[in-house]
Amino acid sequence: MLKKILAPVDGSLKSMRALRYAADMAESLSADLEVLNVQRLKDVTIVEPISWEAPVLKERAEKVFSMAREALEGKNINITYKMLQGDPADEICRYADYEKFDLIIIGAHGLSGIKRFMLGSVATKVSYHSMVPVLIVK
Amino acid sequence: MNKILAPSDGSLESIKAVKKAVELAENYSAELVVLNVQDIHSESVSTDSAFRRKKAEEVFDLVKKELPSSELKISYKMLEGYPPDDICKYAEKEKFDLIVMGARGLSGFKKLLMGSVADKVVHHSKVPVMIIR
Repeated sequence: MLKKILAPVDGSLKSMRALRYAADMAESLSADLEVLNVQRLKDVTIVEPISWEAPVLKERAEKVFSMAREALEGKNINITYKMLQGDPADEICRYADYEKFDLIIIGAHGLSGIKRFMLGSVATKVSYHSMVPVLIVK
Repeated sequence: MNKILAPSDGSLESIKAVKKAVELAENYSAELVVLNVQDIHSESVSTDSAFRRKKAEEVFDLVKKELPSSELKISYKMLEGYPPDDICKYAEKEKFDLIVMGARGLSGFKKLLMGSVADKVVHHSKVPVMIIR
């Protein structure tokens, strides 16, 4: 049934927890797992006005992926890594739909959410707009 | 994953979600509970508990009719109250591992991306929620 699971991560602790949840699920359903990191272009232009070319973004994504690799150590599943640029929620929905994923597993909060909100902005947007089933992990 | 909760209001979308929940429960050999919450706030004064129970039975019949035959142990539970609240409370109290529900049920406008019940459950539930479209 579930053959392809997409786990968007932004490097936050909460997103790593959702990733481990996704890995457990992929393991017990013997599904493939894809770890997705979307680099928001706007963030970069604000913080580092001149250095928003691809290498910087790739470096940042690599950092997130190495955290993900650490979190996924010892898991007996097929894992791939993918980096995209743009608005995270938009890219997650578009990519999941386009690549025909069966499920998106996402943490309720990432880096952009304020603690007092019950659901971060990216998770909210993905749960509203995704055509693919979404599992929200708190 | 041992216990999966599938709230249903009898709408097509919710039945689709229950079907998905059945697949998942089969994969995990988990226990599945189909939950129907009768909204006591939106009802007119004339309705009583027996009538609500009958309505819940109708929903369960609809669900049962649509489900493929399987070995899975499915139980049916009806609650009275406010649907989003009671779904979250029940899931927590009974220690469910996952809630599987449709994005829009009977109460949502077609225009909205997500119905009010799913929206509230996603925001408030401490249990992981899977939204099906």
